[in-house]
Amino acid sequence: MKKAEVNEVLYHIGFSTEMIEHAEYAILLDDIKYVERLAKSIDKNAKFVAENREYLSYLVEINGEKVVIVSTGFGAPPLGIGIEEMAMVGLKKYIRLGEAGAIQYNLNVGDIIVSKGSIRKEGTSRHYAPMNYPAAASFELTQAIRAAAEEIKMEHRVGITATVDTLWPVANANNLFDRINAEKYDETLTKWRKEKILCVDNAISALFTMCNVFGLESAAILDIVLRNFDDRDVINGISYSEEERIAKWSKLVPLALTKYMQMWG
Amino acid sequence: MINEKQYLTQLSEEMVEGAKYAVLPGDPKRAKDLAFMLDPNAKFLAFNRQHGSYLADIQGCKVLIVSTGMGCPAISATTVELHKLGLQFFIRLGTSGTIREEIELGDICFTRAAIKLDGISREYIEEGFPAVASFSLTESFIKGAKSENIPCHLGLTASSDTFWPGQERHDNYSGYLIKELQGAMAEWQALNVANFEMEASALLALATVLDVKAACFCGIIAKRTASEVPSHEGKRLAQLHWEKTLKAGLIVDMKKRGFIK
Repeated sequence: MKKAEVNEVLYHIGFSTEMIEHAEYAILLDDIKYVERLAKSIDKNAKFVAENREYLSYLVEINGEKVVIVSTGFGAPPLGIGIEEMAMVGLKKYIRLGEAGAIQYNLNVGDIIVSKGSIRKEGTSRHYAPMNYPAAASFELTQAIRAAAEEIKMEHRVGITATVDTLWPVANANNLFDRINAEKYDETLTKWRKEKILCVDNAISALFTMCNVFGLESAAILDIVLRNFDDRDVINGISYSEEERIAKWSKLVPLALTKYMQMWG
Repeated sequence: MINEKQYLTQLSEEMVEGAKYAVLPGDPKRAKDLAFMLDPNAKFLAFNRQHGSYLADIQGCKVLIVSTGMGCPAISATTVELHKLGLQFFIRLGTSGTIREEIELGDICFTRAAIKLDGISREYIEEGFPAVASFSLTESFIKGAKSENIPCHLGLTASSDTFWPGQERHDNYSGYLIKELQGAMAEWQALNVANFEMEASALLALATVLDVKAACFCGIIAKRTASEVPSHEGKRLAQLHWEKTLKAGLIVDMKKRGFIK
């Protein structure tokens, strides 16, 4: 496995092994705007590391271990580039915090899903493994997240999710592009609903596949931000409280990582 | 609603002021540089996620510059949003590695059509659906580049959802390529492909579906026959070349379509 020189700043992520103080743990976000806030609410001494393109990074300490918080942008391709380079600078365990659209009728906005595997309906993971290769989460990290959620009595569901390259399949298409795909999406969503798939996101099947191929560990915690069957303009109507989201994550994730370190670290 | 903001770009119809041209680099810093290169009085519009947006004015004709972030999913989602706001002409501009000996570092490579090594085009079109550029829009930028004596090429582009395996780079973390991709570069060379990048196929195919015009040109920052790593000197030269090509090409196109005199 390729290892970067300790002071080698990598091309896309913009940081080196030295800059993240040899950290092995990473928390991954898609949206750049949550990085600093999450970092500071986890650790008031959080340190800025680097910013380049969609990658903004901060370094925090959890249970005495260094943890990097990094945004990886929209979708699987920039996540994939990020994982390659983060692996080269020595990061080994990843918890991804993301957004997802519900597929099951009994899920609501704000619910938390812990994915133990995701359907590979994105292009990035195809370049890493044949399609019968599983996009499955790390057992150890996922169990630590479950244990943490149970301890703080945070409601959550564990199950299989789906990952796509489009924005979440739209049930009630109201514009040209979505309308072209509406029929196909409707069929897919109905099928997935019967197969007990919980929700759909834009990244994690690439993360899980790559980490399995590389012998690294990854897990994902998804926030339901919309229901893929509500009768409204799905994407632009999204509403959730950013404060609540940061509070939720900064309560759950450090405890999950601490439990992981105690059980398996 | 004229002031309704789109989810990802956080732009509204009101904010884009009737702009028809959208310039789409990947990098938010590049969006800013290009906007002020085109118009020293360019207006900052919004910054959300990896999308930095600016509005430039060329002789009264508005040009929207938005960074898409990397990859086909990001450029698709951005293009769908901008289409809803009335944008008609989409110009992707980026960096790329060439697999042809005669193309040099810093040269500009125009995409005539793209090979779909991406996932998103599977979602809305069949495998054989060709991702072809708007010839009229591409012609304007080739004319612009030639008027500035920029070394340029026109060819087929392979658009990959990955930077390493899909572009047959062997220096990735695992150092292993799945069998299907081993020797892919030699195959693309034999099939007359000029360069690799990560967005063209999605943009060009989507433009056909949306009935808008799209073109793509890249500055060559790696000669893949010699190296897997981007060159800094190549990048400096490429930037100079794509800036001149963009400005001259926009003016040629605006005149051709009667937007400016």
